[in-house]
Amino acid sequence: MSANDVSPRILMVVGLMTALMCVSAFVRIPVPPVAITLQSVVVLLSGLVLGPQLGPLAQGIYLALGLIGLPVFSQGGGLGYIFQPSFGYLLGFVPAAWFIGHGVHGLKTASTKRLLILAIGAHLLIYAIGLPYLYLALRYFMGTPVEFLPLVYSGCLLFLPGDFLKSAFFVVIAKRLTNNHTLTTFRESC
Amino acid sequence: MLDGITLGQYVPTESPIHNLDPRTKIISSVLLIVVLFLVEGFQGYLLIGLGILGIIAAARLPLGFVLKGLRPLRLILLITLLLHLFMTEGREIARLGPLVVTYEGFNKGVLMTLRLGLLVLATSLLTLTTSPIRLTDGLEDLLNPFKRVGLPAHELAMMMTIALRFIPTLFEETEKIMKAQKARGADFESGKLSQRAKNLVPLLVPLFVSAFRRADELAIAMEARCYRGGEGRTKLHTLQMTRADYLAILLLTAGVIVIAVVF
Repeated sequence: MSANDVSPRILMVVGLMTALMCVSAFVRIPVPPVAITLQSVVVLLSGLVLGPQLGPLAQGIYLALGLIGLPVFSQGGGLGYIFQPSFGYLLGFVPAAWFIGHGVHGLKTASTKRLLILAIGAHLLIYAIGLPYLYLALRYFMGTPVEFLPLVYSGCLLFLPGDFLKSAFFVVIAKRLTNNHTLTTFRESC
Repeated sequence: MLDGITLGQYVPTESPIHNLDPRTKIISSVLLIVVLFLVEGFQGYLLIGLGILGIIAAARLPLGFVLKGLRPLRLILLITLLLHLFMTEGREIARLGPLVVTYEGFNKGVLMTLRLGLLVLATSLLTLTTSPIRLTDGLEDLLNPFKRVGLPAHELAMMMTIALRFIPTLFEETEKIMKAQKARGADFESGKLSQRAKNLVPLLVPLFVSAFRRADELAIAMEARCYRGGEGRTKLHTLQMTRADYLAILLLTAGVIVIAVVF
């Protein structure tokens, strides 16, 4: 993407999607035992509605906003967030959005099965980046010697059932959004 | 359900640090992070800590408010300290049942906790003393040299500014839609999980649709005003490096080199 082909439409929609990401970090749904956020669903949706280039871009801008210090991550923000062991999951948002965008690119309507598989794949991608980061951050930033396998349990397996639910939820929303009139006309005018 | 989000981390007071160019402050933050990773030892951290306290004083920030920024990290800080305290092998200095505290563990634990705490403090100084708009301006300017390799610096900064501008708006909208759905009997807080998930559908779909509609309207407004990107665009407030900026960078660089070499 070069500077010349960025229309105001694209500027606006990526900016607004980034803002939606920031807001979604703070909408907590109290599900015992912990409150969950719908952020990962919004990540996948951004890939769906913006496509394989702008979706990851919106995620990248979200990260940049947080890193320069605006408190848009669930626990604040700042360059120091890089040293939070959980920062890897946020990094994983970028390829996750790309994965969804790529998977539905050029399709008029995606099947339920396809969407579900894509969503689960995207969630796994977030872990594929988040877990090694968690491990390395604990080891080298904090000098805490940890084993990789117990981390897989506490950093991934515990959350998988919830992520499966979120994937199903994503499919429901995605179905509604792909046929939405406002979204289709917007994309045609880009 | 909506926790209060305050984008007002920025403390608007008048101080020499606030008046520095945002580019100076961004570069300084990076320098501080680098030095925190180079130094391994109490004296070094003590000096850096004193330096950070000095900056806080010069910026006329209330110390308690700055320290509050450590609160989200308190659990991680505690875990780091405890893990090192009990898991490092070495000379025993205390014993708590099966847990052994070693001299090496104590040393390492305190050092690592200090490093992490100082890192967060050092980086929070940037946002505490710089308004978000000036931050994105500074970032755009620092990214400008990369335009040659095709990085759309202005467009990226513009997207950041748009996002910033619309976070409060979208927040309000989320609240409004939630209330509207509640008035129609939607229950977000209790009931079966599947039912609650179902109730969230009429929250997220309108949010996305309205984001797109808004983007469309605003893009038309921008086009109507002949917006045509960053090429040749002038600014109301241009960034200006002053003597204080060069002095600040010089002082900090000197300090960083001295600390890195000595400790």
